Amino acid sequence: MTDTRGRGSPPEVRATELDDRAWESLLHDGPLGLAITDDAGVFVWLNGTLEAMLGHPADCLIGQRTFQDLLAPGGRIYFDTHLRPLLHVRHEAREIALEIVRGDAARLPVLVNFRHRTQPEPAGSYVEIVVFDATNRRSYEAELLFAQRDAEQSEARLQVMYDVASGLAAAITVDDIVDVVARQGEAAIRGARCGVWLFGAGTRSVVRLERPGEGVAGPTEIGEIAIPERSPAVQQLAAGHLVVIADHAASRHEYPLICDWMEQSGVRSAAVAPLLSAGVLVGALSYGFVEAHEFEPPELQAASTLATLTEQALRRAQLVTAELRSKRRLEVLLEFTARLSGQHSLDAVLDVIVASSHDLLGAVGVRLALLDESERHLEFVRGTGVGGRLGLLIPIERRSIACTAFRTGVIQVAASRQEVEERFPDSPILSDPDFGRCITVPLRRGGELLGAWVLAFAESGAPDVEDVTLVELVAAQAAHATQRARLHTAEVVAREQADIRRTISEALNRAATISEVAGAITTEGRMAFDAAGLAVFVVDAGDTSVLRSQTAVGLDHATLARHVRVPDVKHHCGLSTWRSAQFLSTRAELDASIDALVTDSKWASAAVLPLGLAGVELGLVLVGFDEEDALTSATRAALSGVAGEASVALARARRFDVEHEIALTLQRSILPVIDTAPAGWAVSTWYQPTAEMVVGGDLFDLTELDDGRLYVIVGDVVGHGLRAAAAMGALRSAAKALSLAPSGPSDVVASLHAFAAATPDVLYSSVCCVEVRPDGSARYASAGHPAPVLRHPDGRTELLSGGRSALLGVGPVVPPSAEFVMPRGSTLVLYTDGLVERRDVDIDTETMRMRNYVSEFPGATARQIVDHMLEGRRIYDDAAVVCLTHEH
Amino acid sequence: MLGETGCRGARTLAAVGVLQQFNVQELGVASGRPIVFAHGFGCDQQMWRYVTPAFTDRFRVVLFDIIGCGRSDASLYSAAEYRSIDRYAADVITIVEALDLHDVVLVGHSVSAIIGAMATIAAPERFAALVMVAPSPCYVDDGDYVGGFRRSDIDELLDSLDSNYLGWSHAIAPTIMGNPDRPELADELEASFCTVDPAIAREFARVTFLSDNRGDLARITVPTLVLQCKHDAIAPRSVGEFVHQQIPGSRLEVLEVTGHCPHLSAPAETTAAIKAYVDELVPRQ
Repeated sequence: MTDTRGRGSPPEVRATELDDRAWESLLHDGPLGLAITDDAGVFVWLNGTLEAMLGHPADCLIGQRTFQDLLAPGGRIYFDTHLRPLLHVRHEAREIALEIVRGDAARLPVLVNFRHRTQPEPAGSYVEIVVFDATNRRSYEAELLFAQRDAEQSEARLQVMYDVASGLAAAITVDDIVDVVARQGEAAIRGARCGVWLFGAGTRSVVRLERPGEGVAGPTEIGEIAIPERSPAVQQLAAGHLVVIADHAASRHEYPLICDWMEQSGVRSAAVAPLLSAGVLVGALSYGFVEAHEFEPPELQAASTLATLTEQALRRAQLVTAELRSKRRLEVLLEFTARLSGQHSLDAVLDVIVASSHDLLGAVGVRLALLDESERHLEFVRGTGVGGRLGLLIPIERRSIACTAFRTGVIQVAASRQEVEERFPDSPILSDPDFGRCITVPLRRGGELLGAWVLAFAESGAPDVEDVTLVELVAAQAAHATQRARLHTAEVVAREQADIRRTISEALNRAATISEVAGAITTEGRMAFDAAGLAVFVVDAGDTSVLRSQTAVGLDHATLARHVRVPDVKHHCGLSTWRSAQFLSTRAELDASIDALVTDSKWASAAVLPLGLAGVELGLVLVGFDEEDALTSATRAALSGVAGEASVALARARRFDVEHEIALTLQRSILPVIDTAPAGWAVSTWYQPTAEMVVGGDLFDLTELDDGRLYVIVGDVVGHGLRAAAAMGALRSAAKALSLAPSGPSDVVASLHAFAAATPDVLYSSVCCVEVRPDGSARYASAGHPAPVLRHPDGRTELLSGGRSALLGVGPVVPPSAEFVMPRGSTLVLYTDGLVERRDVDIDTETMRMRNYVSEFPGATARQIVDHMLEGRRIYDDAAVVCLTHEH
Repeated sequence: MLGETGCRGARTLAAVGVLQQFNVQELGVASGRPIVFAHGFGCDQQMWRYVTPAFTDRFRVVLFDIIGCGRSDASLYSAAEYRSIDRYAADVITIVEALDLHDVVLVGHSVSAIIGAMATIAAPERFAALVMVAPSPCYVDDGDYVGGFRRSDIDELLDSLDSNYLGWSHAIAPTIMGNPDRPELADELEASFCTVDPAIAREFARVTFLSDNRGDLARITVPTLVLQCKHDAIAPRSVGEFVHQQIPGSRLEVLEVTGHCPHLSAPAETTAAIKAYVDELVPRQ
């Protein structure tokens, strides 16, 4: 048995018995490959076994090639970088695993021992090499190596997954996630480039995001690729499967789009893992290799795992993003409401809505349309973006997205510009060049639809439901503010018009005469209505079928008709009656209508306002405007109102003018002009009518008798106007007649009492009668009349308050009289109560003021006294003054 | 060894930490011009053992182990961090700064020639000259450029490293180190010769052989000597000439040597070439 023989017992063959051939055989053909090289590695000798292993004839090697030459390149580097230093320093290296490239190019795994020997010259130093065939051992080792590598790689992948998972835990936004995955994902598959792809919201275009470059924060957006939904890759990914492409050249027919991308980006092999969210494909992870690469199951598994981690993170990010968005939405709503609350005018509100469309809602295009007055059109009052037209009117039945939203009262959403083009071809928003989604919301306040708000956004696709809700909420605020502003505006307009009406009314009230009424209409009316021109025609007093031009402003008088026949005006202006105004809003209407009144007017619109009262034609007002749209309904209403007031004022003025004329004529004819006096005496008189030129009842007279006596009479008949003037005339005549009789003032006043009692219009008049003899002695009697003032030569003044009886017609049968003396240098002032009676000042104070003036100015005339007392004050009653001076 | 004789005054704790981390050894004259030797891929500072004696008489000789090699502190290594040549270059600058060296002659072998180049580009104020021993800025062929290898060759090298660390380094090297009976291993230092952390070595190989620093050569501003071996399978002559052409004002010297490690196989010639070049430099100020 070999076992028993192996221990202790001597071997059957002894080394000493082996002959040289045996040793030589061992050396040359034994189980060891042997070689000797010089220091540089050049073969010096090799045995047959090694020659057979190398597959090169020995004579081609010896002296010509180095041992390392025969190694595979990797081994060659290893030899130079590792073995040579070892041999130099340690002089041996053992069991080195190398691969020899045989003469037939086959590779032979070997284990090699090296020993560096140094012998005395001439041999010097050399290297001994022993080579074992290690085919079996190497395959065993290779398996171990693979196993180790797998283990290492799966450990590395685990580490990557751990790193990615912890990185993702801190990632909040989608960008963060892409960043983490792109940065760390590459380690999951060694040597691969990792890319993250996300579908754009609501589209099938894909945004590719890759790892960031040096110093670039966040992922770099590489670009977009449009991928049709039916693409095989998308379908495969959507089903949750990986797409693996070992070589894009070979898979082009199968995945044309991905292969195109791979070719463009220099990727030859790629694995694409789907990113799903709630079963819907939202993106993908890609791993690309520059060279051809066979993906191994662990790599694909890593790709799937990484995708799963990414999916989870993306889902969480969506939740977080949704939360941030709803917060943002609330902020938008609050901000919008705050902005609107500060605005009152419609213009300001609309401006805020448009501005907020951009900076709060992120719209790229905006249109705001409001229902116009006719309620048949939407008027596009605001628009931004290229081609935004203001004042555009579109009938509400048109196929515009704003009209549709308005008609239906329901928010309208178009996912893309194309959809707007197809469904709403009449939409003005289509004049904007670029936009995607379009949301249009009706502006509604309570049950009332005010208009529509069109918002165009850069991105396409169906909007987030919550974004639509936000737009609806914001639109409700906008509608509220719009309506509020409109009411406010209406109120402002109404107030302005009321102001205008009041201003005009006041002016008309002040105007007493026709020319004053016409002047008030001209100046105030033009300002109030911002008219380009205005002309007032008045029916001729003598011929009521003719209108005469009274006043005009803002037009060339040469173009104005001086007079025109009423029937012609009626005919041309289409005034069937003389009541309602005619409004002319176009040039054609203007030219046809007003030519008879004014030629060559440059007006764009005009109003013809007939003035009349109770069927009597009084006049006509023509108002011209530069703007076509000046005649809004509000302006029309105001013009009509002014015409009505002007008619009343004109009627009043006409009557006033007639009466006033007569009264003045009468008064002038009754009141004497007294400018001469007997020798030694000076006299002055003044009659001051009221501001309204109303004829009053004051009278005065001076009669010089043959015996040298002077009779001065001043009186005041109750009432104003024509009737009073007539009564005054009667009283004056009576007084003059009585004063001619040889009697005293008492007799005159007594007779006037009787006259008044019998003459109702004279009843209750007051009168003062003074008789002055040439020597200055005087008598006087007064019936209810203010006491005359006597200025003594020394300046002292005296009220002559004696000789008084009651107002005429109620006095005693014999009224009293009194006496006084007018020395030379003295002055007697007789007056009516209009001189000293004021609404706001005590009559005694005014009387004293008058006495002071007379005292101070001895030569004051009647007119000077009146001027001093009035001093520009408005007087409500007429006043008469007579001054008589006894000259030195 | 002079060891700490090169120490000038007190070093900060951090500086001491750096010196331990990279197993920095100082020899020669403390006041001499500093000459830093950086070893190449596959070994450690022991590679310079035949060269350094020629410099210790006049120079302050500084040796160190690249992280993961020799007796450096591998625990500070991170594959993610050491992804580029630049990171290794930063270590060289760290060492130079820790020792507060100026006017440094930096001698780098193989990949350390490129690491050294990047260090001089990053901190030119520290360096007086660069000696590149058997450099290659790019090992992989690229168009007209012949680096000498294809990408697949490099992968094979990585496999080769894997096989040998599996079968040799891991299993055998510790045994050698712990076996005092072997007469040829004079001491422990000798036993640890060219020990490399296998995991780091593999990544270092990746950085070494897959980096492309051709574009950086023109940025070198310090005087540069390129030492090219006549027959070098790793860095062929065409590569040495390329390097020389790219570096403005550089000098190319071809050593009559076969192999990639002239400082081991022909230390005398290598030493003479370095010395001659360094002696020509402007004296220290």
